[in-house]
Amino acid sequence: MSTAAGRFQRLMLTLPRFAAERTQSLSKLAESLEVTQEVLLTDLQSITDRHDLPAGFQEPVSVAIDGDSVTIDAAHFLRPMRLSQAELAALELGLRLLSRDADGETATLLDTLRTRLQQCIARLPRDEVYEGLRDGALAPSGDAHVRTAIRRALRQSRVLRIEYLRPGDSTGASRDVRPFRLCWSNGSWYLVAWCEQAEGLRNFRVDRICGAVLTERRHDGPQGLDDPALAQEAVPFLGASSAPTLVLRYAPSISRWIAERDGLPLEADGSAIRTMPLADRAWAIRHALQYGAECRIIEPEDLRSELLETLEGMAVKGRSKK
Amino acid sequence: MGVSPKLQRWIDLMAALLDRRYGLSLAELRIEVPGYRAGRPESVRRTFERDKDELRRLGVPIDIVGRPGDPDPRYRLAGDRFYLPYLVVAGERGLVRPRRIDRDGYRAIAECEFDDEAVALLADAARRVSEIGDPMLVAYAQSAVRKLATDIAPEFLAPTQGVRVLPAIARASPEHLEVLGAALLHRKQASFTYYGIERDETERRTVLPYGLAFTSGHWYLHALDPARGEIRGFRVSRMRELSVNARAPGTQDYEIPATFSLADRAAPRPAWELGEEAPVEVLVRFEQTNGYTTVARRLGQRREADMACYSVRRREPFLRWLLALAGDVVPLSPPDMVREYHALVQRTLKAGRAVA
Repeated sequence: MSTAAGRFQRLMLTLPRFAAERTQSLSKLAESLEVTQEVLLTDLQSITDRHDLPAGFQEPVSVAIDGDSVTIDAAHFLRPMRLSQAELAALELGLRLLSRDADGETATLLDTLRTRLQQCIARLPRDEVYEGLRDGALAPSGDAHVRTAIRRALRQSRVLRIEYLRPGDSTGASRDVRPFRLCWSNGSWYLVAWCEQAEGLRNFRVDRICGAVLTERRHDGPQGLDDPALAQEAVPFLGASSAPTLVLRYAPSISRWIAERDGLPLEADGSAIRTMPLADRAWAIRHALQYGAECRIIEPEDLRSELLETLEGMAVKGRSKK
Repeated sequence: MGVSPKLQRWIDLMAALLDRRYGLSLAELRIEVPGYRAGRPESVRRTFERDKDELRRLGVPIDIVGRPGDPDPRYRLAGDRFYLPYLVVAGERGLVRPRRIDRDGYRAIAECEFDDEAVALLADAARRVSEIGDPMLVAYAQSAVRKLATDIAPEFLAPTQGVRVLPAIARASPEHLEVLGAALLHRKQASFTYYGIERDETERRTVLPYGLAFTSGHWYLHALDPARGEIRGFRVSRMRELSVNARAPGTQDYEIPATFSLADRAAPRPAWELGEEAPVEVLVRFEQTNGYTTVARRLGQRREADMACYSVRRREPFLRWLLALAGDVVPLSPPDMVREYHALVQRTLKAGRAVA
């Protein structure tokens, strides 16, 4: 965006701030506009430093600066501009990302919101060039009602009662959790929450939460947690620091996909090696199985035997079906 | 330092137009706007036309009043089309209204009411946009939210804390997204070197961009590839040496056909549903109920209590997905898929035994 356009947009946000109070603190204003004081001053000077003005011309914007105080008169610019089509298109992409993931009630609310936002834009010729150029969706991940309940629990700091189906269990178990974070990573949503039953931080795959109900209880949020650690890529392996190490080797025929997804370097023979904490043996076996003969468990050895047993069971079942 | 004659002209022009309900002709604007006084009429007209077009691109709705072809039309900037409506938030404690400006030019501004829950979703939407890596979108979403924040208190406009979309490791370059966004807007042809991971080959592509979609954590350019005569999806993170046709900047290289729907292409689909092969209906039986099979069921069409049907275009990804279910789900038909599944089990077992 050109300098003039950038300044213009900042000014159109700055000037309406003086509708209620003509004099304001420059430093506070800069802070609230998320720009430096230098940028703010330069923007204001760019329209007020004038020479050779015709006699009788009344400047539409007058600015007086005294220390940290700035006084502005801008009679025609006391309201912000309407949203532009480009701004609406950006918000609409966000709304579409939310609505593809939403339950019926939320989707209706989002539709109404879109209509209201349409009322806030300035319609211009050629607006249609923006339409339909961007879209998006995250992979569907479980019940939309569950995600809505989690979002509400996060907004209201409420304890959530969830019905969680662990990978190996045939029925769900009820748990009261204090939601801390809802993360989308590598194709799935994960709820990071303090589990009151386990008295520890746990990671729940949202598509395995069969039901979620907001309780009346509020909580103060998890205290003393290492926040940056939770933002790491290894969300599924949260809390597994004491687990044994799992080492997998992916054959050269598939390693380029693995290298791209996990950011791994390729070995000299073209294979890729991945090391991670072994938090869940069943998960590790199924993970290896999805790559068939192209993935090998290097460590731990007993897991390799377990994988073979699983495959033998599958083969026997196949023979008996014939 | 920092003086901008152009910006001064823009502000003067807008102020002059906002001041006159019925608009002004260019001759009248030459009196009202100091920046248009000096110079020959043709040169001033060119400057004015450029200013008008740039302001329109920035969202300033300057209208032309008069018949088409009128050599001396009037130009108008109506306050009710320019100023943001007053935004009212409806919440549990009733309506929260912003302070109205009791001055000429502002009294006719309409109100627009938002539900407080909807405003929270709007904040979440803006946050989501800021997480997906396109700097142009981030700038537009932020400036939209700042405008809305003039009337809506921060407690309503706060995104839900703790909801995050973690970026993929192989991310699209922000510069590429910006360049492709501009190419799309101006309908200009784009060229890039593309790594086709399936065939493990890199080649130069020249395409007509139809849309950008953020699907399952990755940006894809959906574009017509004239060399292949079809619309294809290109993962932006696999592009290098991107350039856009710089010839004839004021003209469009192509039009996006009305039949093209980015929404259809943006929807995430399992790997076995992608591709152009004719789909095969595969019936499977669930032998166990657990966390894995519950998730797997959702991807198919339920047939009976323990059966589901999947529409499969690409066999290999589907068979590997079945294999990963470790025997909890088994294929029942068609027979060739059942045979291929068991062959895959045997092959994997053999490889595992060889290692052991």
